[in-house]
Amino acid sequence: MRGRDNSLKFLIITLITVTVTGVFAQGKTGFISGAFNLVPLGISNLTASAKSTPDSAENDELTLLKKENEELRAELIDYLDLQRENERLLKYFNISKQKPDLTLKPAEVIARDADDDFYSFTIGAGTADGVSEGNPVITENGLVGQVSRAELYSAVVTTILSPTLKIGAYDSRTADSGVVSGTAELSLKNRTAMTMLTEDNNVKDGDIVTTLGTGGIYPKGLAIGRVKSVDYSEFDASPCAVIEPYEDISKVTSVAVITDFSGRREVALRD
Amino acid sequence: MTETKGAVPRRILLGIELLIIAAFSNFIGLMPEFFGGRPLLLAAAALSVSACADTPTSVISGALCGALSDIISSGGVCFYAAALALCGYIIPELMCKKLNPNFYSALLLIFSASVALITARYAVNAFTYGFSDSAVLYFYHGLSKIVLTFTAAVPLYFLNRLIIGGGR
Repeated sequence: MRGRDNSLKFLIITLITVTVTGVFAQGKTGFISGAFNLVPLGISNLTASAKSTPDSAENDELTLLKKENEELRAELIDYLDLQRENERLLKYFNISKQKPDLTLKPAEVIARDADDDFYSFTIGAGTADGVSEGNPVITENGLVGQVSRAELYSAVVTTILSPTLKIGAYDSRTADSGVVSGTAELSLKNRTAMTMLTEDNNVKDGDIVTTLGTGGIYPKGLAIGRVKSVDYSEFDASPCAVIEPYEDISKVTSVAVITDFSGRREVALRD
Repeated sequence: MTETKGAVPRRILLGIELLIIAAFSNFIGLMPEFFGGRPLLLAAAALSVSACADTPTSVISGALCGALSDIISSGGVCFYAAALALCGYIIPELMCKKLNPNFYSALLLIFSASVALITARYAVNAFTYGFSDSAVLYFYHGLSKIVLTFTAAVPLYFLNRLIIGGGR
C-alpha cells in the first residue's frame, strides 16, 4: 500500500512539474526542437553529398598524398554542396525572373510531423538564413504554406490544407475574392476550400486561384491552385469553391521561403 | 520492484535510446505511412517502457517522451507530457496488481493505451477543428495511427526489456 501511495505521489509531482513547465516554457522551447531538427538536417545534407560523391579507391600510398586527397575530397564535397544549392536556385530562377521583387531562400523538407493531420513539415532553413515566422512557402508550382515556427537552422511550415491558415485569395479570371482555408475532409484528397465568396460570384471549374496580397503576409499573385468545383459551405451555406493545389502537399520535398517582397514592409507599417 | 544491479547505467541507456528515437521520430521515409497516418514513435517508446519498467521509471519516461513529442510537434509542453506520464503510472499498476505480468498482458495494455491516447488526442483536437472535422480525421488518420503506434511499440518493448534488465 505504501509503495502505491509513493507511486501516486510521484505521478502527482510529475504532472505538476509537467504543467508548470508547460505554462512557463510556452514559446521558449525553440532551442530544444531546433536541436532535435539538427539530426535530420545533418542526415539530409550528408545523404545529398554522399549521393553525389563518386566512388574512389582507397589510396594507401604516402601520408602526404592521403592528406592531400582528403583535402581535395573535402573541396569536392563543398563544390557538390554548392552545385546542389545551384540546382535548387535554378529551380526557382524562373519564379525570381517572373517576380523579381521576391527574395527566395530554397530549402529541403527534412521532417514531417507524424502528429499533424494536415501534413505540416520542417525545412532545413531557419532564422540564420533570414527565415521568420509568417513567411510564405512556395514550390515552383505555387504556394504550399506558411512558416509557423522558426528556429535557428530549421522552420516548421503549416500547409495550405490546414484550417488554421487563412489566406486572402481571388479568382484570376473573374476577380471574385474569398478566403482560402482547409477542412479535414478536403485535406484527405489534397484539396482546400475558398470560402466567403459572394452569392453572385462567377467562379467556375478550372479557374486559377491566386493570393490577394492584402495584409502584407503574401505577395499578390502567387498561384494557390485550380478550382475543382463550386458548392455551398455546410457550415454557413455560403458559396465556396473546392481548390486543388498544383502540388501534392503531402509529398513536397523541396521548397523556397519568400523571406521578403516589395510591399511587405509597407503594408506591415501601414497596419 | 527491487533495484537491479547497474540500474543507473541502464536508465542512462534508456534515456539515450529515447533521445535517439526523438531525433528520428519525424524523419521522412523512416516510418511507413498507412492510410495517411504514421506511428507516434515517442508514444510507442513510452508505452513500451511502461509495460516493462517500475512505476517511477515509467512515469519519468512517459513525461520525457511526451514533453519531447509536444516540443517537436507544437513547440510547447502540454497534452502528450501529461497523458504519457499518466499512462506511465496506470500501466505498471495494472500490470502488477490486476493482470499477470507477461508478454500478452503487456500487448493488451500497450494496445489499450494507444487507443485511449490517440482517441483523447482527437477529442482535444475537436476544440480546435470542430467535432465533425476531428471525427473525420480520427476515422481516416487516427485509426491507422493507433495500429502503427502499437506495431512500433512491440519491437521497442523487447528492446526496452533488454535495456531495463528483464523487468516483467
